[in-house]
Amino acid sequence: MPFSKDEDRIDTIGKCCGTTRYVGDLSFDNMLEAVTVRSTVRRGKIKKISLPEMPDGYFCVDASDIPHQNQVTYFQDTCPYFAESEVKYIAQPIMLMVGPDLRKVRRLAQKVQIDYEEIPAIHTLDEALEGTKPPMHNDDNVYFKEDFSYGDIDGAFAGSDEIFETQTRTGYQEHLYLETQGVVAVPETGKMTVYASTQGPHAIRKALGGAFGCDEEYFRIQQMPLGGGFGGKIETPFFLAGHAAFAASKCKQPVRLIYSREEDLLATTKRHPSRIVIRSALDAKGNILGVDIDVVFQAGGYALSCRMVLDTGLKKATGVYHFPAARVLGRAVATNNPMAGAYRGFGGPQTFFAIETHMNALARKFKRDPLQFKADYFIKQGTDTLTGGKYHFHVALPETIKEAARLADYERRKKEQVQHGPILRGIGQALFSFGAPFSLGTNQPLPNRCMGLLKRKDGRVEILSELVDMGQGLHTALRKIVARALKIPIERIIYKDADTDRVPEASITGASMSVVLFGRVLKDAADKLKPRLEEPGEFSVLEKVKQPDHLQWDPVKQQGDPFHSYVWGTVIAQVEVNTLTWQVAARKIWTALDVGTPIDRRIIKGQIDGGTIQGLGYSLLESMPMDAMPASLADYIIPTSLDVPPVESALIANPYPPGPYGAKCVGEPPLIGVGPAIVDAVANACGIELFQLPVSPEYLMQKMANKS
Amino acid sequence: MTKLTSFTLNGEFVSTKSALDLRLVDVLRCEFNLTGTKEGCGEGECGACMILLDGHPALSCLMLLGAAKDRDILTIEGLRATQGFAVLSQAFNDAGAVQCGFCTPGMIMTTYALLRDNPNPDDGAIRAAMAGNLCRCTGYSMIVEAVSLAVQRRGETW
Repeated sequence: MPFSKDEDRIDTIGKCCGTTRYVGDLSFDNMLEAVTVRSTVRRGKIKKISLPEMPDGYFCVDASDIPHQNQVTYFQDTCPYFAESEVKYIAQPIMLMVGPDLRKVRRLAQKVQIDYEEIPAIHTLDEALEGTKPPMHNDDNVYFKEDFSYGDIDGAFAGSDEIFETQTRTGYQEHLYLETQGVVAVPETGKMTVYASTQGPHAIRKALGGAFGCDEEYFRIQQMPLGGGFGGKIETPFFLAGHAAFAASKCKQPVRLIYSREEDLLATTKRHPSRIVIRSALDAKGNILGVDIDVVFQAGGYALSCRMVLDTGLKKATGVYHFPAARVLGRAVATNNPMAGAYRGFGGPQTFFAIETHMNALARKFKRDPLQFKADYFIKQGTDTLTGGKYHFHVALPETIKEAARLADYERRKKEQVQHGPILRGIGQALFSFGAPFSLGTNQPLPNRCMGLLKRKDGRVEILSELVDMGQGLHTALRKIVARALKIPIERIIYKDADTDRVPEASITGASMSVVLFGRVLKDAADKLKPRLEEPGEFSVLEKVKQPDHLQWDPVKQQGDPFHSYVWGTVIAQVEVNTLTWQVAARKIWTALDVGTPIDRRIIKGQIDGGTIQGLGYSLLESMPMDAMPASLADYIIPTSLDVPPVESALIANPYPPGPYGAKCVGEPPLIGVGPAIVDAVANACGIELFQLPVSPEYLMQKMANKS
Repeated sequence: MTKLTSFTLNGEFVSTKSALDLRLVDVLRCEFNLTGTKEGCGEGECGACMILLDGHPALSCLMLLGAAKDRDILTIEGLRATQGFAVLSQAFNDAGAVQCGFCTPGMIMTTYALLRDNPNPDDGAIRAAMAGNLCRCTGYSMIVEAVSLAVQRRGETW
């Protein structure tokens, strides 16, 4: 194997010591503190705003202080930095209160009196579709709609002997990075520096350029170490950066804006709730002739990135299967809730929960072994994708099933099922794939983006990249790739947190694309630098971001290969159900994952463990009403060290030729299969079918009451 | 009249004129510049602000300055000069227990107190002691493994 040694991460010691400076640890002379004044109603027109008496040195900053455009330009829809005439969700920012003493600023913010004319609000995706409330977006509340199909789906249903239908629902999930959102904006001569906890420094710079109506180079974004991201520091930081920059520009002083946990829970993006109906057309023997999938994602007061999240979820909606015919229809709908956005898995957790739950229920209906039943429809190398492309490389799904079954001693543990008594026990499984990154058009030029290597005078090599280490260990992984390509010790490879004045634009860090795509770009740059390593002086080598040659994608017709590469995986879970409390405890989870060539097994284990437990929280604990946010961690329960079972994992070596040394990705995939595997295990224990995440005690009790 | 609050901070006698109703976490971070103590929730749920108060784990976001009077307070900045910290940080490194790092100082404070009072905790005792420190990155197993490693390596360090 090319990478046999796990490398120590250079960020570890500073993090242990507490010397790593996160954005909230920064302080500047004359720095002001900012607090956001937010909407207290779900939907309404702002009638009147009354400000308290403002002491000297205290300011309020609102839409009138935005130099050019009150719109975050990164998003396709109109998404304002500050609400002006109307509000569309509780906690929508309306203005900022700024001043030297944070406690006084908070008190002033609380004293702002805002009168609203309330409008009947749309609380849930069902209300959005029913149309009983005044519409928020067009006539139908649909922000975005898309469909894919292949085969003769209408013929399949017309010729079927039976139709089997499931409806699954999933709720919000909060990222709950331990470090809340924060930025500090510092005005300097002819420039403004924004220190940010963000997954996309260059994207913030662009957005600020748009809001200020000036050259984006006026802004320098310094990315600070992230106390976790999980996708949650992609969209929300645009707002914080804008707010702090407007205030710093108005007051001509540094402005620090750090969210309290309460604000972070109430106001930031979350995973899209979903409702997915799957109908299978079956013949007399129970074979699937065609599958019709209707996906609805609940977006919030503004569309934000729902188009991309839904689109990605839809392209994965047929799971690891190729049916004789399939149709997938998706809609993202407007509601008066906080905005949903990017979150580890990006639409996949919802659609995989739906398809795996459907397939597992079908297998139970026909009393078939689920893995054998599902195997009839497996994708194989050369199979068409939902979008008419191809699975070009080896599909290691069967190997992951075999390995997970071996790890779990699956056949023996199946016999440990207990369906009577105070504690029920069951085992479940789910299969998944994860396509990443998504393809950009191959029939048109790619945006001019690049990564670079800077050979320094002292012989060390610095990676010039805006890609963010948010805790996942990306910097170490990319340093390993470059060190290997250059054949020099990793200690001589430097990777600093991104400063947009120093590093070129590449991408927001997300979608599990950093190693598989940008790792390859860096390897290519290193191959170019290698023969020049002994040259004196300082110079850099830049390499343009390009897609691998095997891809064909037409973004207009949405046809071709939707993703570059696919990770394949199997999750097996064993659970116990307490019939007094209806609480479910996972006893153990086993995962086998094909990540291509592993770059660093210790880092990968961290991703698998962490993703699995985040998925476990999503499956059992993390409950938010579809229309009301909890304002406290006491009301939003994530797993503690006492809630988590052992996670045993194994990697399948299935190198992906275009990836760096055959690597694929690992950030998002481990979360995807956990929900359906847990639900399958609870179903196995309880002898009923379940269709909802999380499996709360209330939901389970209700289902069991109906059973008896 | 300004009231002076005195306490021991990382082994040194300190005094402050700050208001007694300031939260201790703010006093430590803003006045004494000890930013290794983090605020993750401000409501005593996450443990990122864990300090040792007279040697016992305490949440500095739930304490007011007045409650620190005449007490002994140890933060990560005080702990990191000790040999015990060296063992713990090496174990956290080797087990891959640090990802984003925001929970890490609090985790280490809790671990230090645990191993002082219980030199040989089993998996269950470790998990019970860490239950007040939330981590969203690791899923905890690698942290528990780090603590187990420290148990093996600590000798008579502390």
